[in-house]
Amino acid sequence: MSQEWAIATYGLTKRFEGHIAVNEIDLRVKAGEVYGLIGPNGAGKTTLIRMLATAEEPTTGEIYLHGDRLLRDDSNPLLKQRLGYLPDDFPLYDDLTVWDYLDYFARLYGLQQPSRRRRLQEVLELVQLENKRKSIISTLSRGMKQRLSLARTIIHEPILLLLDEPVSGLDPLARQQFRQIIKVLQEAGMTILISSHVLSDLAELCTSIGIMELGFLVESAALKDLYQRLSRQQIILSTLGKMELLQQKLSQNSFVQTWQMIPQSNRLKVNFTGGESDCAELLRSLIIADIPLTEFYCSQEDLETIFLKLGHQQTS
Amino acid sequence: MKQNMRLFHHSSSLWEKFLDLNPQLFREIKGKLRTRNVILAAAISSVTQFVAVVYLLGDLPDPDPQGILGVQHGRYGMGNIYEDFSSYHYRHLSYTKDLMGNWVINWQLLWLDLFVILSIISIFALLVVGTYMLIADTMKEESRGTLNFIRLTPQSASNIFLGKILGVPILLYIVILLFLPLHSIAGLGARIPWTLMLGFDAVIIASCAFFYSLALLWSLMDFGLSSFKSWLASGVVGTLLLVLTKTLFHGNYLTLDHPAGWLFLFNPSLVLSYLIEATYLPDNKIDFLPVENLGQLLFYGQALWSKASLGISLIIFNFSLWTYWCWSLLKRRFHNPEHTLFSKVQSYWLTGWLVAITLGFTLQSTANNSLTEYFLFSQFFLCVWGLGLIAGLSPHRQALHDWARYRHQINKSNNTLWKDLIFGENSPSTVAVAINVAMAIAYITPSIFLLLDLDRQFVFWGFILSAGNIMLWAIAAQFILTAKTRKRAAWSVITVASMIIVPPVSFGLAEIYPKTIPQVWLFSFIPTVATEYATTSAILLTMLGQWLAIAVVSLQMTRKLKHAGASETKMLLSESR
Repeated sequence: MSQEWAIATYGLTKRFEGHIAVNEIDLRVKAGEVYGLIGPNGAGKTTLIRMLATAEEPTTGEIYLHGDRLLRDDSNPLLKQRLGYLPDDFPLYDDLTVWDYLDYFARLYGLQQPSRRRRLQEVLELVQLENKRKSIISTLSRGMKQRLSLARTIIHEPILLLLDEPVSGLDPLARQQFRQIIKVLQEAGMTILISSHVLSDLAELCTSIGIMELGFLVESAALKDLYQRLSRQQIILSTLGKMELLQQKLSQNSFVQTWQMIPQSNRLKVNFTGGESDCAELLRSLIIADIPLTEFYCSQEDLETIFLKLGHQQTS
Repeated sequence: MKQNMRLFHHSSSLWEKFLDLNPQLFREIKGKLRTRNVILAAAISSVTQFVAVVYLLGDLPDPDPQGILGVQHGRYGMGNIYEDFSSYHYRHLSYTKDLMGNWVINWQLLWLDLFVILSIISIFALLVVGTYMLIADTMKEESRGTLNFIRLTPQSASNIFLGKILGVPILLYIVILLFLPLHSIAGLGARIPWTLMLGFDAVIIASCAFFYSLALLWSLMDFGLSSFKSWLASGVVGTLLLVLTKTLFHGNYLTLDHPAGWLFLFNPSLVLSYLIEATYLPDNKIDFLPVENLGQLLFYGQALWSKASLGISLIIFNFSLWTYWCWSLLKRRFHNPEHTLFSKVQSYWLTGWLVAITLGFTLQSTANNSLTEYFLFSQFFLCVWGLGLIAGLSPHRQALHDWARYRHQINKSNNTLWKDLIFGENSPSTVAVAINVAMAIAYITPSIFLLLDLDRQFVFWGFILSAGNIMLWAIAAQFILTAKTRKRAAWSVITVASMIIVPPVSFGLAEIYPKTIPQVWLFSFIPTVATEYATTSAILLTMLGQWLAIAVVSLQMTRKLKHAGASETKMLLSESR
């Protein structure tokens, strides 16, 4: 059981009646990574995360966090100290104030004074709820409650964070705030496993991606490798001159695979297999050929396109 | 002033340290201990005490300086017996005046009455309201999902539950703590030794520990009825306490030489017997169970409750023992809410303790007739415990299927099937229930043959048939728990309940009595009612029938489990064939 894996599961399986929610998953997440878990609804993401958080008992299989076996009892309090879990429904205590709620969890995790007070202030600042510290929780907005839950999840400075759909139901501003917080936590060296349907968020945050379908982990790779393997480079071109001349010139370049006209505009979308220097060479050749270019823009297929290309159905 | 400040600071830091030790208590205090609530609790306490005092003072004579009211009588009089048969209180004593013209009043009795009233109110409030509060609170946390977060923290289950027990009913504790000054004054006024009062308080604390642990365990048991659970539990506790306390209060003729006497040990009011005795007030003044009658309660033939010190210690031991077991089950249940209520090993220990204690209370007399009746009672108790075992040991469909499918993968120590059935987690309960029942009967049988004379045969066969019944219920319940229907738990309860209730009711309706046709009654909840009249061959045939039924259901279940345990590939292959 290698220590370098923040999370390592071996044949992790969970059955509900005849249905296998998670099927023999061997997940590996390196320390310090932000690992995004994507997949259609019912693929088993939440069940997997719940098992990693000891909220669900696996049918078979083993879980190791930083080399230590995770069990569902009170035999390993140290392991629980390392773990932070934010479920998608984030239940709270409505009768407590923001400060008392966090103070309660800080005590549950054994934080002593004066570091407890300091840590409470730190996390309140991080989740931007300093001015709400004396408010009763029931008076907070959904976004604030979400941030308070995140604060509760990180109050004990865990080194592994499990976030299940943390941005669902949040408005764009709250989502952006949430992303900022995750980035800060990542910089602080936390390993974060996050499941989300908002793939643009994951593309921005994650270093690795796992794709789940029907309980299987069908893909697990560094985001960089995934882009390299599956994402095509595209160039958008537009010209003031004749389109035929441009197309003739493009056909002479060996890195240009196919192209298509973008409807209702004098623009082309070119699928390009070359690297950055090949791209520069193409631009140079077009300029030398006196083609009056008005646009030459390189882009890559995004995570959503890759996901759909793999044949999975993203449902939200 | 400065010193006071330092003292306050010192105590507040001690308080802080105490709260640091138990975060759950901190949370409960923060949520519940608001000024408004505390004032309300203090007001309730004061009003209750005021009403109790006023109620008692109403029995004192009216000031009658001119002597125009004639003879006054009441509970606290010290004169002659006043006989007025038209009144409910016809046996009261008349009030007399001393030479100075002051009423002569039995103040000691008045204080004792106040002490008893406050004690009974405290016991009912603590046990009934406290139980309700704890269950309602835990159910709310479980249904909302907040309990899961607590499970994820490094805190031990004991710490969390201790915090809940100390914190959830904290306002109730304030009400009762405010009783303490008047309660103690009343006790001392009634000339109850303070050691006995402390003993009584210790019993109340022990009873709270037991009932609260049981309440928490109840709230963690998952069988639907969630909104109704807190009402049901506090209702049962309240009714039980009410019946037992009412019996104690007309206890001059109550004899406790019966196995049911054990039940009274779960009512802390029982200790009042010792306290009332210590006042040396005449028996006819207070109609409460005298210590003499309490002393008739035997345990393995020993009168252990005739002396206050030993009696109170044993009552505390009884509460502590069951609190310990509740606590063990709580710890198991807290981390794994899907597991069965107790493990198979725990069930063997529990059966051991229960049977040892039940037999102890069964052996109340050496008279053959009474002893036969007491054995019937212990058989009834064994059947009830059998039902408890079935409920606490039988894993549900998912767990059973997982066990059947992945047993070989999970058991790395290569446990044999038998070992797994006897000790393993999630394996079918039938073998473990059989072992528990066999243990119980093995322990009881020597006493049947040594102490009973004529009835030994039919009592023994009664136990054997009961064992068969329990096994049949167990396997039927387990079989239904593997069914595909969603309400399988409810169905298994309905099945077992109808197996118990339907036969005697239908025999009763058909006017078939144990004396007339004993054979059919051999299948009832207490077969001993019929073994007396049945022939040996009828009993043997009944046993054969029972075991045949057990074998058939077992075979059916084995087939089902084998099917559930087959891999997907195997299932596919068998379907395609």
